[in-house]
Amino acid sequence: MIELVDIEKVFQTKTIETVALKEIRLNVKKGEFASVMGPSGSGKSTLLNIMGLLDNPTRGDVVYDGTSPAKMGDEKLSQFRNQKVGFIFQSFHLINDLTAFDNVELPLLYRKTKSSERKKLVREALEKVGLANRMDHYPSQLSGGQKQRVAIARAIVGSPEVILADEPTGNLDSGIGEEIMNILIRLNTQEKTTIVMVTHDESLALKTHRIIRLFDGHQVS
Amino acid sequence: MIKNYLITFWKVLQRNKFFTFVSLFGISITLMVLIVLSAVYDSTFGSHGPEKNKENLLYVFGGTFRNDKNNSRMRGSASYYFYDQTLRKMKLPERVSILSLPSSVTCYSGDHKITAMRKYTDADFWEVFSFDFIKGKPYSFQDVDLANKVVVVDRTTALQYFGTTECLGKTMKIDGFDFTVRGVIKETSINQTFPFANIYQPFTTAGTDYLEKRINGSFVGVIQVKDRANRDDVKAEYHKTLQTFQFPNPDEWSNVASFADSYLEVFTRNLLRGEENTHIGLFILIIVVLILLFMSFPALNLVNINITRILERASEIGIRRSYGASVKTLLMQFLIENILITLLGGIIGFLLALIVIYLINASGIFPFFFLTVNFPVIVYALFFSLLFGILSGVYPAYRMARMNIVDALKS
Repeated sequence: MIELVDIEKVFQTKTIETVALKEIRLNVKKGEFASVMGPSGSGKSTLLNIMGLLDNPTRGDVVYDGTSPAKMGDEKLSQFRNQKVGFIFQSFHLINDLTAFDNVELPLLYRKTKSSERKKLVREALEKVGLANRMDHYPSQLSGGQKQRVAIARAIVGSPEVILADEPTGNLDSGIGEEIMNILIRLNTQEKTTIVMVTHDESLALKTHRIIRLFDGHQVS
Repeated sequence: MIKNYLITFWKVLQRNKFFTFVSLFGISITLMVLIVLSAVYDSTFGSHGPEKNKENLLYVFGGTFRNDKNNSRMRGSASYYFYDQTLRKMKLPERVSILSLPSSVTCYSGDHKITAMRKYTDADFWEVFSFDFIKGKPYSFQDVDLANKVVVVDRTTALQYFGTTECLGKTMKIDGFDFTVRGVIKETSINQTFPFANIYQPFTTAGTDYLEKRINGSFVGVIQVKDRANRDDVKAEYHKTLQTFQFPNPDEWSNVASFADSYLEVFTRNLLRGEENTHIGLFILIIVVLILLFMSFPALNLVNINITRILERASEIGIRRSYGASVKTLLMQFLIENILITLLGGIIGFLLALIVIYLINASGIFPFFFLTVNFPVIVYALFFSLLFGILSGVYPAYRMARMNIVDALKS
């Protein structure tokens, strides 16, 4: 499904060159639930950003089912990202001025989806995460766990092929974190959604199909 | 999508009320000034009042008279004789009128002193221009031929002199003579230079030998063309007619550069001292540059405010980009948001302009100067608002849209 071919990422400032990733070769299969682990600064988030086409590698290629999106222009790449990838962030990254409904609707606005169809998909997504009764609430009116569930609903509303979750439970207590993890597992097992999750929590990582370990930008397993 | 943009726009406005106030204040004041100036422009150059059919009128504001022997020259209005021997010889015009420039006159109603602007005209004047008569009618061709002492006055003068507009047939003393009021008209704004006056008299009552064969004088000419389409032909005919003009005293003046112009051409030719050239292109360029300069300072201010707001919305930009918004989509969103705020500022500016125009008209701070707000001014207001929105929004929108996604999400 997603193939990373000899990925290297170097961050260059005027004085310092930082190698964030080196010689990463990775293949994530369709329907797989993989977790990425490693100490702070090992390149986990960088790997996820490159995988999600939010950042470009310095060298190497990201291939989605035989297609190399890096060669696309901004319009096509944005559409590709919209169709293929859903993101879940550690800090939720909801837009505070919009209700839960409007936040979840966001990915659908960048497609040619009819208003009635959008409303239906948003309701379904919020029902899947158990927040159908909170769709008119603003993020400031939601708890951390609820915010993350809205973020998950936003990630899945467009039925993307892959969900990339960057420490989705990092800002939540263990109980809520467990709930979030269960939602992700359910999405993977029932909906066959491919998920790649960055986590510091070994217990959560062990619930996934595979653990990819990074150390100093290298893949060690 | 539009609903999402409108919700975000409204929330952004409320987020930092001080920034919003500064933005709206700058926009509305700038646009207020531009709208008032548009009203002045439209009032001066548009078809209003007695010049309802301005597009069918050509104006002759004297010319530049030269002495080929000693290279002396005189620029300005001309005598009645000059126009009588040129304009009245033309065949193409529908009608021609010869009228004086307005001059100050003092008359007394009892002990009450009234200072007014007087114009001498022929009878064609009332056919060429479309005055709104409140009472009575203009003086006739016969009145002019017989030099009858009759006048048409405007409403302000009628009220000042008689205390009422019911003054037909009454007399008013001007220059020691009694003149009978034939008609009372609505006031004309002073910036409508050719038809403007408070008191109108037949030129035959001027008390001077208007038919004296001389060049210099205080008269101007107006040509009414049959159809706007043959204005150029009429201009050409006037030019040809000038070639046949016999100078009464060639030792004094032997050559003339004079033109039948549209009102705007008269204005630019006199303003920019053009002899052969109207310099209308230069005038328009100067106006456009001045407007852009005037708008650029508040626009730059708004650019700065918008760029400051970029940091506040960096996370939102990152989220939208992550979920499929392209640079072009975001650029459009932010440009639309900026245009919405400038339209809002434009509405406020328009309302302020209405107040200012009302105050100008009501205060009499500029005597005999009236402004109106009509459709062209509303169109100008909308145009300036949109231009302002685009000028002040393009660069910040471009900066916002091109932000690196990862950096935006981290901020």
